[in-house]
Amino acid sequence: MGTRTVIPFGPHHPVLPEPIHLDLVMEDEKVVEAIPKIGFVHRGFEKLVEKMDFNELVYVADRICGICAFIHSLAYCQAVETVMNVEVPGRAVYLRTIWSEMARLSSHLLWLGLMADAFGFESLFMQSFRLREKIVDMLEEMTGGRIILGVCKVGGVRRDVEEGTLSGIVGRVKDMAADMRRLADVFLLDDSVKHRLVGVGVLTREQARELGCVGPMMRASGISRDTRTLGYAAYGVIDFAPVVETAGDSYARCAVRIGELFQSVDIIEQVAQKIPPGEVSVKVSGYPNGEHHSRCEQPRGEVIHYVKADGTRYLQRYRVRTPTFANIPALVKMLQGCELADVPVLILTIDPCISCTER
Amino acid sequence: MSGLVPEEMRKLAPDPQTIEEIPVGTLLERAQRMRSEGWRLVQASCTRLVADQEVNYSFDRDGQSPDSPDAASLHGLHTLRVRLPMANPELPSISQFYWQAFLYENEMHDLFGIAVKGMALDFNGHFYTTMEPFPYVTREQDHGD
Repeated sequence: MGTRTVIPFGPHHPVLPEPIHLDLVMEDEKVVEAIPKIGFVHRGFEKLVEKMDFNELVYVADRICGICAFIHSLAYCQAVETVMNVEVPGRAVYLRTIWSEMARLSSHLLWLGLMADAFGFESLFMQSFRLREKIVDMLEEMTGGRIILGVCKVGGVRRDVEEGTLSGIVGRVKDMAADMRRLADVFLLDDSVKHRLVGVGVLTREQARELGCVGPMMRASGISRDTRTLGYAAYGVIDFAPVVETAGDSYARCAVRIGELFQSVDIIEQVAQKIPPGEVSVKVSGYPNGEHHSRCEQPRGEVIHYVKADGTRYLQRYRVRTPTFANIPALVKMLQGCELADVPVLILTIDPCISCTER
Repeated sequence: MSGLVPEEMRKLAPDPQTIEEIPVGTLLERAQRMRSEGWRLVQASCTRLVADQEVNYSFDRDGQSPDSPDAASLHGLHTLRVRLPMANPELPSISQFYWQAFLYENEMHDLFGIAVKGMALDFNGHFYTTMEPFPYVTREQDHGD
């Protein structure tokens, strides 16, 4: 055994948009142990149940994170609607599905850009963000918001989208698929990219199961699990199957997210064909009484919003288990035995969202 | 779903969820059994109530697991619940069976003041940086607001 040294990685590091710290125990250039530390910016959103009623908390859920904002508000609203036995109008259910998939496109394109930046491919980073900007523009046209959409509410959604606007959006998303294919080809075929990703940070199927991984982390290791298959929102009537890879390395995780880009385009197209006319919200009266774990598939994996209520305006408990929180143990295991130079890439392959985790 | 939803959406199954309250003394035995039966630890959390607090451990099973070949099991969430007193709450760690539980257990300690014994990785109260220790132990309404 060589001399061991500890290298502090983070909480502020060029590859990290948000603060997370790792103590990397090194033997020469190899990481033998990684000890994570989060909590630098914990905001205590869940404690706001003491001051904000169950309707106001939708705004809180929307602001947990700037990347997964819409799906947070969706998961929260679904939890309250289940407890209150609220029937959400069909059009609202389909609109929620469209915005969820637009959010997935936006997030995965952002991740591809950050990943390219991490391995020093700046033009690829710029191309990814150029495409993402188009998605954000479309979200603004539909909802008025680019990041924090603010359209979900208990009982439905706050805005409708005119048929003409919707068909235009679908056409533009489909047109984008060609650009995304060119981007994907660089990520998946370019030798310099493959050199940094193939065989790096392998997580076996068994490890992914044991460590409780979620989302693309899990699917890249051969486990066909996607919370959307539960059938929430309109996913129960959409034809799709989880995107799965089997290699379990950084390249496989990249390939899963790229596969999900095209899957999202397909889902948006299907939803637009099936969306029914009608109201987009129902009046909700009374206060929630009961509890429910609402599960949704965020771009990073399964998110859980738990609410417990006792029939008053204020919830007894609001709890969010984010996908990044569930993937941190896998990151710790992946880092063991890796080269120091691969640490930034491995951290990014879990697509960490510290803002969510520090809810 | 309302009548505006296409008929086929009526076939959608909700996410069935069950809650089983168990004594604290049986937590380790149950966690071990859940592990051997192929259940996945989905989340763990605390809820501070008026007279006591409850700790929830939620599990589900991978539909592809040989332990649970029926597709229906993919959709179920089973929660084990234990109740703890407000004063000096203590729990055994389940991280010997579910290693990743150390994250949830450190959170339980730092936010709710629960002493979790035997965690795989114990941050000794430094997992979260909070302005006041154990901020979730008290509620604003307790102060008369």
